[in-house]
Amino acid sequence: VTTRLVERAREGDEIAFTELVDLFGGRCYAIAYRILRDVERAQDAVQQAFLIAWRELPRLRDPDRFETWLHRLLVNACYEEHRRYRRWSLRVRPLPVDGPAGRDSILEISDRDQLERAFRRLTPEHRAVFVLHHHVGMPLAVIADVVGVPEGTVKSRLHHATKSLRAAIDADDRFDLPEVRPA
Amino acid sequence: MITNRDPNAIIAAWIDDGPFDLPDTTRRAITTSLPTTQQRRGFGLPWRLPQMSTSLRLILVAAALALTVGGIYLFSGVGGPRIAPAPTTVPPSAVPPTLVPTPIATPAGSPTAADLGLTGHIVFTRYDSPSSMFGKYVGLYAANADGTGERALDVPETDGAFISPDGTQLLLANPFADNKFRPDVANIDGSNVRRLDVPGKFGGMWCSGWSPDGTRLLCKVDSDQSYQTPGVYSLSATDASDFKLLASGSPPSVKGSKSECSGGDVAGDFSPDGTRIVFLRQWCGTGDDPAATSQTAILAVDTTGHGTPNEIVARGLANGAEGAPHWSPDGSQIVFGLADRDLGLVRPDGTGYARIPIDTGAGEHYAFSPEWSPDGTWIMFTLWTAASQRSDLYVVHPDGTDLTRVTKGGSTEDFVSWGVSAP
Repeated sequence: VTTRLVERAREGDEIAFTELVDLFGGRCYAIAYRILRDVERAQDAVQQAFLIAWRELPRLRDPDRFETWLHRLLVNACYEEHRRYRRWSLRVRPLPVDGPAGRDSILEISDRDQLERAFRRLTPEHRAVFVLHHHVGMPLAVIADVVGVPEGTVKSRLHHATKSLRAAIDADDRFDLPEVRPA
Repeated sequence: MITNRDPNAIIAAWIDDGPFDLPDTTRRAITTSLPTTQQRRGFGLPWRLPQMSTSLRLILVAAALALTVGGIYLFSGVGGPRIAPAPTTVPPSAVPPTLVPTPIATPAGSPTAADLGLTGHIVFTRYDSPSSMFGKYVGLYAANADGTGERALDVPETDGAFISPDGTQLLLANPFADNKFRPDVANIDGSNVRRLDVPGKFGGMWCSGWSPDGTRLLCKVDSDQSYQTPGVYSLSATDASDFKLLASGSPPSVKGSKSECSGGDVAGDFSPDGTRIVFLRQWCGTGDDPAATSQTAILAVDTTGHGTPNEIVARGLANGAEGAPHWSPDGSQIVFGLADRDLGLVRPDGTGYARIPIDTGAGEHYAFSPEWSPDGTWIMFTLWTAASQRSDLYVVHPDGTDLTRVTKGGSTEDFVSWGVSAP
């Protein structure tokens, strides 16, 4: 079904492309939110990715690779969103949509805070690999295809990201250093 | 303190927590943009037809190459006059769609930037903007103040650059390397880039100005990390030593159910005599969405490090994102971005608050990132218009007269700095 929709959309069928948005939009949004940690920026990234997909779709030779290709566009859109807004440091900092209380007792407020802070210190490239592997469940080889780096680089980024997040919840006192006022 | 819980389970629960459904507003924004977003068609080569012979493929490739070379020849200007894009009427849409740029209507006989006698030179960042106000970063560019002589600078990616008072150096606002945003300084032509080795565990930095004697920089330090006091600092332009905290006490962050707002400061500019600075300060709103209801003011403080900031543009009137204030060369006025997307002027003592009338004749617009000419007679700024769906650099007199476009590319230009030409 997806292949047929892609072929129709590639020919300029807006209805078919709208069905693709319905099919893949939710997953793309979930990925973008988890990389960017911001609902509005995630929406912008998804919108950007789909509009580029629509524009570039006639150049996609193999319709069966649509999903991987779309994920690649999405990850690149997330990178751009990150760069685009990095100077706007006064803007929104995200909270989990369910609110600070969360819905799972395993996740305490302090965990969320520590993980959010640690995750924000990661580069978008590290974030993307972590989300694609741990949230989407993609194999490393597929991630390498999506983000356009060798599999070894994916492993390295995954290791670094995981280590950083584990360190964040293992060492609560890491952020309790006293402030040092510069001379 | 976590003792008996599985860190991997905690991380997995955290990363899976969040939205899964695409909001209807985003879906509508995408689908309503499709009719105005043109699909890119290739050469239409039937690569996958099994009956096509190799010789036919070679012929088609040769034809495609000939078209490409011919196109480059024609459109590069080598083969004749440049062909301007045709104006296109654009229907309103929920999001800026991919569009053919539409220039602002300019009456016949109107002056161009080259006719204005603008002196000095400018640097600005350029973005490719296929479907949004800010798109993919293209690079940092320099040009004569009238837009002629444009050239790309080979420097690290930065969201802005600032010309030193003597016109010989560039401050790169926030290059990203080693997982940190730190200022770089380079020669005016982009050569000899050197990263300032900032001591201590500072968070991200955004630098935005030179002291009048060119010896110090003005920088904002991010509040994402709590190792050092966030705020506005001045520091040595040569080796990043002698950090001096000029303004702290950033407003607190506020959490809501929809957003978390991080209050804080944005560095602006030194006064021409070097005794004061102006900067932005943002206060978060309240309720579910404190970021959306945040307010920004412009404050001034002396450069001793012991002063108390005073508000010269009231909270809620300044643009929090791209309204960074700049002091006029004679010290009499400060130009800044207004919260309602226009440009404003104010005297350093907070009196004389006024709006610069920007009349594009092209409907909705957004003016931001203003900067004075070295002689103080012009203001250059970025202007986005709904009609063109992109941003260009413009100049205007402080009284709003003689609005003239400077850059005329098909991209988005942003964050202009205007300096004297190096001797």
